[in-house]
Parts: sequence; structure tokens; C-alpha cells
Amino acid sequence: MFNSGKQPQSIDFLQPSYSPTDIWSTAYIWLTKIGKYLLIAVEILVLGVFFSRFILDRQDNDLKEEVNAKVTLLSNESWQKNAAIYENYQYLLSDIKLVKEKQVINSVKISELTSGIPSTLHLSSFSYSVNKVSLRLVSSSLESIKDYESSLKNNPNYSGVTFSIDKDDNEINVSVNFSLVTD
Amino acid sequence: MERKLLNTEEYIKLIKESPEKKRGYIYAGVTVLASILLIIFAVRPTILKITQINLSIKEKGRLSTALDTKISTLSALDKQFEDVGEDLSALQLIYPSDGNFSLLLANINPILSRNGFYLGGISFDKYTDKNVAFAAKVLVPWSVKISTKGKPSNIINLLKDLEALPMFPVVESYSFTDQKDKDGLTGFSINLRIYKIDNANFYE
Repeated sequence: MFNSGKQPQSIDFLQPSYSPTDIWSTAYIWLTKIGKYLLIAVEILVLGVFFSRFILDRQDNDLKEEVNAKVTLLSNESWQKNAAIYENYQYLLSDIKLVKEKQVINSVKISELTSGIPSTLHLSSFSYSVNKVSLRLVSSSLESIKDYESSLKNNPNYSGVTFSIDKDDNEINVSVNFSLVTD
Repeated sequence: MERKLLNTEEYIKLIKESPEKKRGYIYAGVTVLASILLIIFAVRPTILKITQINLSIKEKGRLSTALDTKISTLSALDKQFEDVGEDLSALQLIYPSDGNFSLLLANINPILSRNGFYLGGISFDKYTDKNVAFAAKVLVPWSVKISTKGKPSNIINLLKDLEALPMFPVVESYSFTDQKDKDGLTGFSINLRIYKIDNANFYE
């Protein structure tokens, strides 16, 4: 094929003693001398990449199986039910904490309101509804009513204080309305 | 055949432009081209695929860790629930999910009696006011109206006792008039805000 038996004899030192002239021989020689290293390098790269892919594929599959096994475990009816109950309790406990922290003790406010009424005034009715207060007072002393009015109006915790006075022969009926100032 | 004599310059030119040299360049070019094609059509897609697989591995790793955490958390909660399960079951009475306020009802009468009051009536209703300044996840406000009779001097203690109940009730409104009945007792109307759970299967 490569005419190895027909090497021409020459004394021209500028020409190699054997120089193939057909295309296949030249290709073979080139590939065996220089090109092979380039091809080997590329093949090594290709093999490296393919092996990496196989290894990573295996890791990916292993992880997939692991995740599926855990999902199957967590999908168990008992686990799901327990998880739902625990989640509910966690929500409930956080709500209880919130309700406890935000609880407004209105009994203290009502206590302060009723104890702030002077003894000279008789409380005939009392109504408290979400920071709005209505009182009906009976007294025989206008002076004590005026004192109470000024004390309410000067108290920064109360706003919109209104007094309505109705005087009978012996007693004075007072209707008081105001709001509690909240933060 | 007569051989032509060549000078040095012609020899160099002959070597540079020799057919072997040209063929060498062509084969080198073909090899490089084959390598480039191999890289473009075999290596590049594989590297892209490897990148995708790597991302998938990272994602699955995160998922696996999260699932591990969930499994260990649930296991720990199982253990804790065994320890405090009885205490937690009391919450069903404090914050009922079925609208059964039996614990509140069981406590109201003793509290009233302790403070010298008599229960006139009690009713539960939807909470329609807008006084709740916080957003709870599962607890919903509910309204309970209590009408009672007793002495005005004891009413503050009664209100304090009511607000000290474990369901953290709030006195939303309260009113009385000094009209006394034949026993000398004054009538009071108390409206409490309590809480319940709007999910019948909450504890199951």
C-alpha cells in the first residue's frame, strides 16, 4: 500500500531518502508523528468529560432515590397527620402568646374611672364600651360637680369630655360623656 | 536526464514550497478541524449537560437536607408531644374548635358566686366589633354577654377575675344602673371578648 519496497535511490541530500508521495501514506505518517498527540489529547478530554457525566449522573440518581425515599416516608398518613397537628399547635401557641401580650385589662381602667368619682357624687348609671364612657351622676352640690368636671377636662388620659347638667329642686342630675385616650 | 544546477536561494524556496510541506499543513489543518468538531459537537453538549446535572445535584442536595431537617424536627416533636400532650389537650377546653365553651361556663358561675353575684343569663354570639388590633392565625374573637346581679362594690373584683381567666378575655363593654331589685341587688351587663378556633378538626 505504501510502496515501501520501491524506495528510490538518490544522492540528493536535500530530499529525504524516503518521501511518500501518495495522500494516504502522508496522512498515515503525519497522524503517527504529530496529529496523534492532538487527537489523543482531544480523546482524553472527551473521555474525561464523558466519565464525569457518568459519575455525576450516578450521584444525581442516588440523590433522587434518597429524596424519593424521604418523601415517601413523610407522605405516610400518620406522619402527615402528626405534622398537621404540630403545625396547628405551633400556630395556636404563637396566637396565645400574641393574645396574652395584647390583652387590654379594661377592669383596671373601669376601676380607675369609678374610683375617681368624688364621694359627694352619686353614680346612678355607668356605661363603658370600647374606651367610650357614659356616666350619670346625682349630687346636691354644684361645686363638687364643677370640681369633677375640671378634673376630667384637665386629665390628659380623657378626651371629648362633655357635661350635661339638669337641675331639679333638691338634686342635680349630671350626664357625663368622654373617651379614653389610647396609645 | 540533465540535472539543472540550483543556487542556495532556489534550494530554500524549493524546501519551503515543497509538496510535502503543503501536504503537512493540510493534514495538520484537517486534524485541528476534526478536533474542533469533536469539541463542539461532543464535548460542549456534554459539558452543558454536566452543568445541568450539577445544578440538579445541588437542588436535590438542598431538598434532601430540608427533608432531613423536617424528619428530625417531626421526630423531636413526637418526643415532645409525648411529654406535654396532656397539657396541650387542655387547650381544647380553653380555645374550643367546636364552639363548646364548657370550661368558660364551668368557671363563670363559681367566679360570680365568689364575688357575691348571681348569673342572670349568658349568651354567645359572633364578634362584630373591630377592636382587635392584632391578626391571629387561628384564633378568632367571639363574644359572650353576661347579665348578672350583685353589689356594685364587688363589680371591679368580678371584672378582674373574669379577665384573669386562662382564655385571656377582655371586657369589651360593661354597664349598670343603680336600680335595685327587691333583694337590693343591682343588675350588670358585661360583654366579654373571648377566642375560639374556626376549624372543627383543628385538634385531630
